Amino acid sequence: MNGVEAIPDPLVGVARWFLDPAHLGALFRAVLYLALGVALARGARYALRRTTLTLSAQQRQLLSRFVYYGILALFGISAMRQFGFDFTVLLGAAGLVTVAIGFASQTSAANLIAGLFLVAEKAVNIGEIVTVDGVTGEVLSVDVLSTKLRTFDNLLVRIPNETMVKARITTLNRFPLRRVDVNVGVAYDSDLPLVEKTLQEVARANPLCLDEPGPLVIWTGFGDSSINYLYAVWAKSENWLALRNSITREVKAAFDDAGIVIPFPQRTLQPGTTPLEVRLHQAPPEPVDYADGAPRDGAEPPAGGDAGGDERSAGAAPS
Amino acid sequence: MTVCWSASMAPRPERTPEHAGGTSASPATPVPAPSSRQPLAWWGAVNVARDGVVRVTAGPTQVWVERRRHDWRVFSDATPDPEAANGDEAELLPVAERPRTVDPDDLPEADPRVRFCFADAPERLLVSVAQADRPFVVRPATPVSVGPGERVTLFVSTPTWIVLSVERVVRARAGTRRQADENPQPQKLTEFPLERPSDTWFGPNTLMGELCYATRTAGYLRLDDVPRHPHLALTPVTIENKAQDPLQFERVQVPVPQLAVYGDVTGALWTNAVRLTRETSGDLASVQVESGVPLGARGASERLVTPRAESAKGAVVRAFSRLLHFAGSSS
Repeated sequence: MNGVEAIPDPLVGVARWFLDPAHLGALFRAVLYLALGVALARGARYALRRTTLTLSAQQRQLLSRFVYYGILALFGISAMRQFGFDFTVLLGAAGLVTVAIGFASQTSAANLIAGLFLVAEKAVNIGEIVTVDGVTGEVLSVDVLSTKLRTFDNLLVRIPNETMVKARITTLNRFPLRRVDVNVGVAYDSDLPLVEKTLQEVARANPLCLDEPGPLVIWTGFGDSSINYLYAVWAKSENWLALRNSITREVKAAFDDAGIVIPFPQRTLQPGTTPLEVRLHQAPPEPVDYADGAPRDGAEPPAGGDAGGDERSAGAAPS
Repeated sequence: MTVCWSASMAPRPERTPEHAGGTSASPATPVPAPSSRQPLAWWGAVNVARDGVVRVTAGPTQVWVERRRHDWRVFSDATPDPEAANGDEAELLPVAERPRTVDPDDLPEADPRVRFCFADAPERLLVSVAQADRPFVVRPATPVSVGPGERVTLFVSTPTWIVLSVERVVRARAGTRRQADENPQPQKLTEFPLERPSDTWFGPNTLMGELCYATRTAGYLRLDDVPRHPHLALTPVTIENKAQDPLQFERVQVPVPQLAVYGDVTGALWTNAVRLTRETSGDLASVQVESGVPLGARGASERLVTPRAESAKGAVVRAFSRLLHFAGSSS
């Protein structure tokens, strides 16, 4: 058996086909079409990204991808035709194929259409901070089938576009201003006008806190242990987190300076009938085994004969 | 008030020639005899020897700038006490001591505290003035009403920014001509407000409007009543009410980035005057920035800095406002 006979017949056929001088030209043209297609697609994508600045980021991304892959597909088909592929057969079967694919890819089609709606509606934009189904993160991309978020702990979350369309989306930084809400409770014996004045002064002293809209101090109720207020201050959206951290620290410091107590829940235990009597007594000495002449576990023998525990350190036992 | 020699940026004087040359000897030579020419001035240019420290005092803020061999270090100690914001000291001088600059752990909680690195740190420090980068919303202590046909001028003080730049000192050799490319351009290190103003929003609601800085004013109508501070620039705001109804407002917006800053003979800072003309009822007014040194500046004044932004001539903008009330803000 020689080497040529060892090659399977189909591969030999393909090799002979390519080695045919008439087919070498087709191969050259196909490669040329593919190279031209890639160059044109890249050029068109680059030009689109530069010229469609009026569109949003995801609209630009979607359009450039559509153009890029469309050009690649057209030139790919042309390259395949050089090898004699007849796509009219595929077109003839397109009806059946479409039905089959439609049944097989209902989910993908739904995501695709949902993605188009997301982009058209501008429900989310790349770079925005959104909360979807309890997941908060920065929008990385709105792709054909899914939207990708990067959470603050650097996880990638892929959310199908169909879910995005159905879910309630909260965009945290769409508007230039954002409010920081702080729930504050003060003791019942607090000077309430002083509390409100102190909170206003804290807001006024913090440069991140907007002077207008001004801070709000709203009574929200009599709590179990405190009189509760909602303290709401406004900030530039970028400064929201910094203000949230600084304002709570400053409120605590200002309350401490003004002698305003922030109470915490306290429980008073009372026995059901008679007061509980507590008596202190001496603890019994620890048993020590001197059978082998030395105390076990390194324990020292008691000094003197009085093995007494300190009465103050003795445990309490009910009478 | 600490009176110290100081000089304006143009023409830029050589203030401490004994410091030039970048030698490590005598990094902080005592200051020459102070001049009382510009007691409120804190800007200027100074040559700093290697390991030398310069302290800039402007109202409530002190800034230390230290030159090392390979870097410039900037330390600031903004006084957080609001009472101290009324400080009226102004000086720019090399200091012998290095207050809280050598040991970073010894520094106060200050911002900024940065280093700017060079292969060989330039010798000359330029300290200059800049106006704020956003408009100011001025709230008078009490709401103001201007009757129909009346015209009043409010004097408004707003904080300025300090700009730190460095440049190399080029000395032409005797008998040679200095080439154009030998004249180095100053390199800006940093800028920051001498007194951080509070943020505020100016607009009809929280969606439409503009982010501004807030300041409060007693609403001085006489220049003599206005207290002068070295870090504050004074802007005469003329409000003319040509409408048929009285103009009542609680806040007025001053387009500070569109104003140039001037220093008068005392070193006090001024900006261009602003004229707000209300033609019809409402909060809109045409804004006109008057060119040149405002009336009231003492003696020969010089322009220290050009406007940050172009002013739109004859633009009608929302200039007055009552306070925002949000029906749903309590939810």
